[in-house]
Amino acid sequence: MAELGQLLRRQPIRIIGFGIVAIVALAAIAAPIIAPFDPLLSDANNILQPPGGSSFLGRDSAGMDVLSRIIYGGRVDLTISLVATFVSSAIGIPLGVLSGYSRRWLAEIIGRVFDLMQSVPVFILAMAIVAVRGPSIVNVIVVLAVLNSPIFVRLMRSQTYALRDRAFIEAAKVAGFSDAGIILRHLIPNAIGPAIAQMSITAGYGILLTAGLSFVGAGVRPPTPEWGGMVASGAGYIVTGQWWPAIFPSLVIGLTVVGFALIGETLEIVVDPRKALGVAAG
Amino acid sequence: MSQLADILVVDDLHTHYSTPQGTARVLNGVSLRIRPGEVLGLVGESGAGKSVLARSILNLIDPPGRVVKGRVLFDGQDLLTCREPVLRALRGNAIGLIVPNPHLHLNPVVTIGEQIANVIRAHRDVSRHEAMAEAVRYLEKVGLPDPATQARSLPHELSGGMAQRVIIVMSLVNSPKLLLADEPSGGLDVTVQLQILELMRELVTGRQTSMLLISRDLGIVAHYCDRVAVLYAGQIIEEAPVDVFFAEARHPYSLELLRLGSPKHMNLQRLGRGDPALNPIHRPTGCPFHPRCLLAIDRCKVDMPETDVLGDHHSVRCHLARRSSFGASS
Amino acid sequence: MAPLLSIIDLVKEYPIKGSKSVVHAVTGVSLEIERGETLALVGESGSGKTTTGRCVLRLTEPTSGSIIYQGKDISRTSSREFRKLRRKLQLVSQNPLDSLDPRQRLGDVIAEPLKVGWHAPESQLEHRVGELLRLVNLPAEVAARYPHEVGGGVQQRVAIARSFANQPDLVVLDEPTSALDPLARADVLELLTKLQGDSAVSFLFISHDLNTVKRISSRIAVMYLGRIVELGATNTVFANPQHPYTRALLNSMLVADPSASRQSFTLRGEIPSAVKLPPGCALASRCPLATVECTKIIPPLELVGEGHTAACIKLPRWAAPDGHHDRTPGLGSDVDIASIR
Repeated sequence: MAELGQLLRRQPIRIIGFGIVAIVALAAIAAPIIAPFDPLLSDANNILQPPGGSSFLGRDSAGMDVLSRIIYGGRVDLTISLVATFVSSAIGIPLGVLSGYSRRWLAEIIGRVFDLMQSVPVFILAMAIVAVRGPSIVNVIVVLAVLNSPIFVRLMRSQTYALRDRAFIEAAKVAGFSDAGIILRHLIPNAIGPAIAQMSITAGYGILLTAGLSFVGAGVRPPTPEWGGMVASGAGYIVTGQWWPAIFPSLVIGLTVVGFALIGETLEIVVDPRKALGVAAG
Repeated sequence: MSQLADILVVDDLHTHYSTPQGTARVLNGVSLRIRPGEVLGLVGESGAGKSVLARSILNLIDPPGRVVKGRVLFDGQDLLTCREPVLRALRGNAIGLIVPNPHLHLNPVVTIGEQIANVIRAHRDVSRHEAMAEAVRYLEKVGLPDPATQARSLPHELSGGMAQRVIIVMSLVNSPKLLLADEPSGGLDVTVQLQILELMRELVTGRQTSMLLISRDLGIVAHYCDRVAVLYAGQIIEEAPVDVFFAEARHPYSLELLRLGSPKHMNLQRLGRGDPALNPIHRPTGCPFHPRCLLAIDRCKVDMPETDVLGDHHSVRCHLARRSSFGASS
Repeated sequence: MAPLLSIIDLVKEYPIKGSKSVVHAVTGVSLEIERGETLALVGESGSGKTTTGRCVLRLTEPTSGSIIYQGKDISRTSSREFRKLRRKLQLVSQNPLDSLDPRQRLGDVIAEPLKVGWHAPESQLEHRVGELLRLVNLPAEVAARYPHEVGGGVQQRVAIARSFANQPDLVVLDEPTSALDPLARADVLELLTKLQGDSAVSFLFISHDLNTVKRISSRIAVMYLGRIVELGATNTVFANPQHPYTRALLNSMLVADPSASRQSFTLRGEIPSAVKLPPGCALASRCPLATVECTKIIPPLELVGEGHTAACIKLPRWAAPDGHHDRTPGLGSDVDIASIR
């Protein structure tokens, strides 16, 4: 934590990522207060109204205010993405650590299973699962959680491999700790860093996936405001010159994903295990 | 002693490295000279700057490192101002380099015979066939049991001792005038170490090859060097012919080294501690050894000691050098 | 007095993947460690000295053999049972920075062993950590530092303090000073000497550095290719080495004294592979004294002086003045193997 503060002081530009995500999140939370209109209220007289006037970003093909839907949409996208990230890391991190630490054959099998899962094209799998289970927020979360857990398994597995033969882990064994004690007290604190950085990246990716699923109709169903769904329903109108229902949500998707990626990059630098002072010594 | 000019003169060398935490002054004013045919031992602990010194001499320091001051005169020519083609002609030819951890420095996908031949052909106009033949001859000379076959081996097929012999061959094959041997027996078992050192002595004497032998081990220096220089915190703090050093060293750090390595000095009182740790970015004011020195006086914390010549080619950088004996066993 | 720990016929073999051969790391080591003594295990790479130390601590599982401690054969106990013994059998490893959790302050590092199983109140822990820091000559401020903030000598002394947390009976030190610079090395050796004097703790000091071993150990076992080739009081072995390997090793120990005479006793060639052990005496291929007979039998450790054994058939026999030369050397007569199993 302290190192994060130090890094931000030295390179203040890195605060941008945090800023973007914070703004989006705060807007989503404060939606009822700051959204100018009810996101589900459709004004039939003002279908496809261009941006300007009371409707800052215009209205979509159902007459609903784009800005309000974007703000409320943040609730959906962020919730899905953050919950899914949390669940997938809650599954993936312990399994990764166990499969990396244990020297029995079971560990190998766990590892291989998850490696296999990762080799399947994510999107196809997502579509398949949602097709079977039906589109809903919960199902999208489940899909994302399942799809993203192999990343954490693999990450923690390799971190654990690297650490398990280190002398300080052996020292904990010599002190008399059980394997569980060693894992909790020494292994995880030292291994978890990259996973935390990865969580931010996964969250950003989650938003993309959610948006993508909705775009192909396999995700959250309209009229629930959700950025990908908005792009989907608005995409057809770009050709006829009404770009705002699709472009604005796309920008927000892109911006938010970039924000998460920037946070992830900053966190990666913070957790980088730079041990002794890196001076070329003779 | 030879009247010829020194083969190597290092004059007030300063090498710095920039790091996020600040500038590391790794070499802080190193000066030394080597005469033709002489073996100078350079002793220092890790972090003192030994390998950086070897690379600085060969002008092989890359960013974030930089030689900021000083001259390195090889046969009268300043290597730090030479152009790259001139330097390349000298390295591997008139100046040879031996490094520790041989497997890290050999190309893992080229046979050792070819690697030696490549060094030969980089500097001499001989055919590949002749170069290979010479390589095999050298491998035999350094004691490889089956040189012709082993010349076709890859480095990982060789043990540490054998790989080190290959490195030695590569450094000597073009009859250098100066050999920079950076811990040539480091990382090897003691019995193999002895073989390597004896081998080097054999190959080097009778050729008037000068050598800078860098080591952490005073024992090696005692038996294989003519003179010894002690490097501490980027400076030479004592320099003397070997007999003089082992009989009359004056710097507290030198005496600590002797106390640890030599039975004759075992009963000296402690003159130095192991902490605080060396930090090349934040060097202490005054004498770099004072934070660890048990004899430090106030002056030591403020004034950097100048080089004090004690006679007999023996020089020291210590304010207390001229005091009478430092605590023999009490 | 009964020894603290007895190692009997310890063997450790490592299987090689995809092959029937094994690496013979330790091939029949028998040794007794007395209370309060410092026994050095000396040898070059492949000697098995580190493996032996690790087997005693069950950091590596022995292939066969027994390790008798507190009347039990601890080489066979379950890991759960053995964990209870761990507080008394400790380790200090070679690389001090690596043996300290980089995320823990040094005070917490030292307190860790005190937190196993039960949790003493904070104040008691703090008190004990303070005691341990004093024990290793470190100021109390060190407790607040992180490992990378202090030098190697301090790191290693912290590791030693940690090993003493639960008042161990035996501390295995695996090359504790090899990675340290000279002055830090001096600090640690001075500390170990002081600790030897003060406590009844036994040290098993594993090292390839004969200079260090000479200063710190009372008895020394020289190992070559998985076997003990010489065993005896340090002063005796240094002054009067019997086994050819010991002599070569001592000869290669370059004394920091240019006027020191060097006897020439060198070995040919290099250490053979531990996978395909040469027949008979492991040194035969390199030894200047070797004859054909040396390849026929593995020489047993035999008495060559009072309390001094060596494994070489070329050495003259020695009869103890009291005639007890038929006793198996290296084992006290107190140990009755049959009664333990």
